[in-house]
Amino acid sequence: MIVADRKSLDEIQEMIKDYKKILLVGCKGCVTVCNVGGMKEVQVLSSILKIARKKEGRELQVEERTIERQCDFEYVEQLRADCDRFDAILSMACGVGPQFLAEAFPSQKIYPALDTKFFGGAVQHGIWEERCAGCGTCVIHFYDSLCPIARCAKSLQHGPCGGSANGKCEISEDVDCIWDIIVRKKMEQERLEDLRTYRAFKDWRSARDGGPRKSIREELVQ
Amino acid sequence: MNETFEPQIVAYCCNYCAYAAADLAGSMRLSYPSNVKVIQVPCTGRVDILYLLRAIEDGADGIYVAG
Amino acid sequence: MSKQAIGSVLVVGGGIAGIQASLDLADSGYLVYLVEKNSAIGGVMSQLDKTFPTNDCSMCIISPKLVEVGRHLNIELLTLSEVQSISGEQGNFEIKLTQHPRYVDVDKCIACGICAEKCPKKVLNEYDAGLGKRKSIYLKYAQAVPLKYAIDENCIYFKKGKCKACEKFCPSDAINFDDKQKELTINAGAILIAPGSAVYDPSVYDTYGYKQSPNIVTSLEFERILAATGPFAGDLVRPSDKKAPAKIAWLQCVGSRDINTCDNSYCSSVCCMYANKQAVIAKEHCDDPLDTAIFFMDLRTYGKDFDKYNLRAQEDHGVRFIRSRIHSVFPDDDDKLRIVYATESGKRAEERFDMVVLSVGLSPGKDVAGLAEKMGVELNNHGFARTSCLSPVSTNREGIFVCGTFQEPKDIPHTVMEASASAAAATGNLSHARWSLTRVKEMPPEENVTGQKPRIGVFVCNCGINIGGVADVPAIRDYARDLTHVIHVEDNLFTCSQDNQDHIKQIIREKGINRVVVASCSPRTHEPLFQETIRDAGLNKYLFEMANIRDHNTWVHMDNPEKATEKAKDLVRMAVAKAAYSEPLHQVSLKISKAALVIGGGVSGMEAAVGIADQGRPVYLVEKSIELGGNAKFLGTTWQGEQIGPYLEDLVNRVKNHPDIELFMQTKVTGTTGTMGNFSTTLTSLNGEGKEIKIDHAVTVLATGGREKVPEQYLYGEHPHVMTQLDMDRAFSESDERLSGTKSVVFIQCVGSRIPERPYCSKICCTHSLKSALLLKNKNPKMKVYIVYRDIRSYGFREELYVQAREAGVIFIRYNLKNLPKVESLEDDHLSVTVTDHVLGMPVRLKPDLLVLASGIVPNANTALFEFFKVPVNSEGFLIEAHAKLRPVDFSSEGIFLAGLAHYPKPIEESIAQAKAAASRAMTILAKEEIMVGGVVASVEDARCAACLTCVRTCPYGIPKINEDSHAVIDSAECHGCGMCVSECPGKAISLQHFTDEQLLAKTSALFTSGG
Repeated sequence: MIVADRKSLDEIQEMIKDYKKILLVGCKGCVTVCNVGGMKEVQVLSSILKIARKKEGRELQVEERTIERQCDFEYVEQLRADCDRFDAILSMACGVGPQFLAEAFPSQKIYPALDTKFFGGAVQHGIWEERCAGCGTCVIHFYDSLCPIARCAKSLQHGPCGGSANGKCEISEDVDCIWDIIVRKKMEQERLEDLRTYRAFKDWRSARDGGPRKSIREELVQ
Repeated sequence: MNETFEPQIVAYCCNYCAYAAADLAGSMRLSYPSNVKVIQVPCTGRVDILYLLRAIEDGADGIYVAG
Repeated sequence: MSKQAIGSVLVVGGGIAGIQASLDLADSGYLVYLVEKNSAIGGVMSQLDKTFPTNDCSMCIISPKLVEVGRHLNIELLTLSEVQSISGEQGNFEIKLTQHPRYVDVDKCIACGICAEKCPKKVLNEYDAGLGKRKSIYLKYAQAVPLKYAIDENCIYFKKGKCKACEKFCPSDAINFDDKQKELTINAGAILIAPGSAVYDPSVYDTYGYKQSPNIVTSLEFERILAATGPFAGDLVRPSDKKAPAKIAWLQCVGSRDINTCDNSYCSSVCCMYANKQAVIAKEHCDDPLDTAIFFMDLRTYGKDFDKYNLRAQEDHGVRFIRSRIHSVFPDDDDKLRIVYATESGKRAEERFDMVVLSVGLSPGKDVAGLAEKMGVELNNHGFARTSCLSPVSTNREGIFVCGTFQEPKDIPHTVMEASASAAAATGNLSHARWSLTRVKEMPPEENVTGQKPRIGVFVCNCGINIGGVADVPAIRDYARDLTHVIHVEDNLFTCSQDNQDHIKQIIREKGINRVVVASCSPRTHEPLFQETIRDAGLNKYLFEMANIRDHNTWVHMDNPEKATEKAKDLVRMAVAKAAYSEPLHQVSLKISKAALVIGGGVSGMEAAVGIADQGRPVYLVEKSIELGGNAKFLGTTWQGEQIGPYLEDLVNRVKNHPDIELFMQTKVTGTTGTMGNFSTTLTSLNGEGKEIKIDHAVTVLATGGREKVPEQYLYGEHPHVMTQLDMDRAFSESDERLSGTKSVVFIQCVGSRIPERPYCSKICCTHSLKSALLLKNKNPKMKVYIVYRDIRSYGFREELYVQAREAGVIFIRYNLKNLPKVESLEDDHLSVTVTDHVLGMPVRLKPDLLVLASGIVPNANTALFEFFKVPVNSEGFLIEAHAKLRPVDFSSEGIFLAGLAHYPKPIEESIAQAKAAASRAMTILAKEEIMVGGVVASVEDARCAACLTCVRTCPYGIPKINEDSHAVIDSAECHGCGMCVSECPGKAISLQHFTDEQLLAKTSALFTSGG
């Protein structure tokens, strides 16, 4: 899933400081699952914003909606009837949401309430970790389903760098060196030889480096 | 805030312990300010962060979660 | 005989033992007469401040049980009552009781306390262990059940013929000076005696100075000092000057482990732990660092998590432990207390303390000898009930059973275990009469209020003058009239009085009220009463709300009537706001299976199986090995000398021949689904082709056992003359040649126990070694027998063995972890054990012919099985019960129970008791045809569920699951109703009935919106 964190209150307040009436829109997709943009978080942020505005001696009206997904125009369309009643719309979806909203309602001012972080999963309740960088050409079958593209700070494909120490990456003691894990797993499975295989240069054009991407599945296109 | 500021405090109390403790304070006639109003919950786990925020929005000056 | 058996049981004693036994009995279909000689139940546990090893508040955990007893339809509580005589026999006893007058009409008393306020007679408060005063008309304690006052014999009217102040001021006309002693006759199929024990009275010793200095207190007095409800309101101060002490000493074994005329020779079992607890809690009470020292002989912290508690006390809290028995306390002129003692090295030392706590032991209760005589029950030489280790809750008289500290000094969990065990044992012959005398309440049909606009009735209680004397009740009543949805208001002198219940019912019907708010006292005590009233009027009981304007208002704001009135209005407004959103909740009945699954064919599993099957319920007993009997197969005798072999043979035969037990040998559990009432479990045969069978059962008992750890040290397995205790037992029974001609034997205790890897005491090894040492000495009095130990933990009456062993000339040498014994094999293959003698302070070399290692108990690893049933294990692999104190055989997951070594190391008598207890707990479910589920539980709105797993991950009981349709399901039969998942759900898909967002937000919001 896409994992996001909520922006700081200061940042959100700054974005909406000129508005008196906003629509706060949650999303029932990934951001509900990662406890940051579902109906509960919408209610919580709504309340926080109102309290913060009250502290300034001004009033803020917030209406709360949570739609199925902000990354589908059909769901976004459900907001059309109401959207003109507001000075601005604050989206609690991943980065896709505000953009779909902006495309659907070009005259409306749309703001993101979340920082979209990565593709990952919950390793325990409240802790999410990155697992995929969306590079467009999956190589994890070479590495026992451990992705050095997403999980190595340098996206190295041929083993650890000199910054690997005691299983940790030099960037932080909290970050595991994925290469340490890959090598150990290969050793356990007695397949260390696999790593002698030279890998061709990765074609980064399928990743972000190739510019904005698009996926067209002809058979589905009507 | 004037000199006779009287804060309103909401106390969410777990039925099994803190609510019972508040009852006991009554049995023992222990005096405390009347600004505290207790709301019974089945467990402090039932206290949604939203309640705290809404209480502040509504005008609470302090919230006490006890359990 | 059993066909004429009576379906009622008499329980004598309303302490925690009597309470637990009564609840088990009443919940499994028997009518209970609970006889208590005091004015309220609760016993010693109600007096304790905190309980070890969890530091739970004692009152907080016992109070729900007190309330349950008080309200149970099938428990008839007879307070101020004593047994006069019994006749008849098992199955049908006739008991004559005397009920002393209370002089207070329990139907009228509303426990307002005005009588006690006005009463001029002050007497010592026995609930505060005599440290404080109470009045002659009194409530035993604030949470007492029944919550009714009583007048004692010190009353001025009784002595002088005038006063009657209480009668004059009682607002509900409840005082009755004409009350008379009543003689009652009841019939019961079985009798349980649980009169508890007394606290040892140290005033018989001059040398402890108990009578000379008020700052020398007993441990029970110290509990009351620590208690928030105690004489000093929880401030830790010296009784003499009410100043905070800086140094406190505890003297262990006061009145225990001593053989002077007025002492008890046995160990009281609980004092080491309560001293640990008191020292830790005392430190927590003090702002300034408090110095605490415990003077002890052997540290007997043998129970589950006790040693860990002791280590924390020493290492984290800095409690000092000094191994020395103190003979005298000298009060100095400056109010300090001087203690003179011998250090480990034998030097004389002296220390001065501000307070001294005498860790007094448990003595036989003063009335129990008389009671036992009336019952025809034999006592042992210590004055406690005589029982056999192999039937630990049975007395010599059939049909009469014992539990708790009347059987032997013991802690609360063991008492609770025995209480349940005795309930199972008592009803083993009464199952034909189950449900024959129990009472059922008839209810009128419920009115359907769905879709109706709220029509709220508000009843404001004056509670005599408790509320009305402080707040302006008519003003509160009139205020409520204008609140939204309110269609009826009134105030009552006592809303809870019996006549008022009829009045409320009538008003509900007349005015078409569909939500009721009572503004009075605490829902914890009175909500069930009012819920019953509105239910009788045809309203669902959840259409009721309370505003606590007494306990939370007039009682705590007495000095400010205006503010109390305003707050009462706020509280009423909040209750009305919530009531407007109240919806009827319905429990639904769920048919349940009749069978039980018991896993483990050792003594615990077999006793549990027989216990349940004897009550007429089918049992599937699963054993993975080829033979029944577990560890008991290797044991010779109990510590009291009873032969285990014949007992085991009989038990195995009963299991094999019982028509209600189906035995699955060489079988293991390979999966389970379902919950309490309806489990479905797959059993797979380990024999041959692995045949699978599915069984349905309502409950599960896990008795998966443990085993003696195979020692990894002291040449075990390397030298033929090094053996474990079980090897030794086998050697005895097989007349092993290694025993013949043996001239000297060394036992090493705590092998593999009480070390950092296994920081627990295995509980049984000291007794086992003492028993074996005595056997050896018996065989050959000239044999040299040494026990190399850390603390001798012969708790309870097992202390007899320790005394006998010393008398027989067994030599005891103490070691500690820093100075472990060294075992070598000499060149001539002879063993050598070197240990530093604690008296000489020098290494001593022993050359035994035989070395016996008292190796600890480890639990059998059953990771997969425990995961199937989702039951937790602690870091040592032992199963974790639902509550260390009060639910020692239950798991948090309902319908699953545990017994035996899988829970913690314990001797056979305790395994048997725990197994019987598991049977009793299981019967509270199995006795029923169906169970009621639902009510205040969480429910999921599927459409909103994102299947995010938040509920699954946050539920403390592991109840929510994601189903095949990808949304969460919460089994209402299992949900505990805490609401944690509701608060965490990011999709707001879960709600907790009766505590919905709507209700709680409305209630909160109402506080800030004055007016209707």
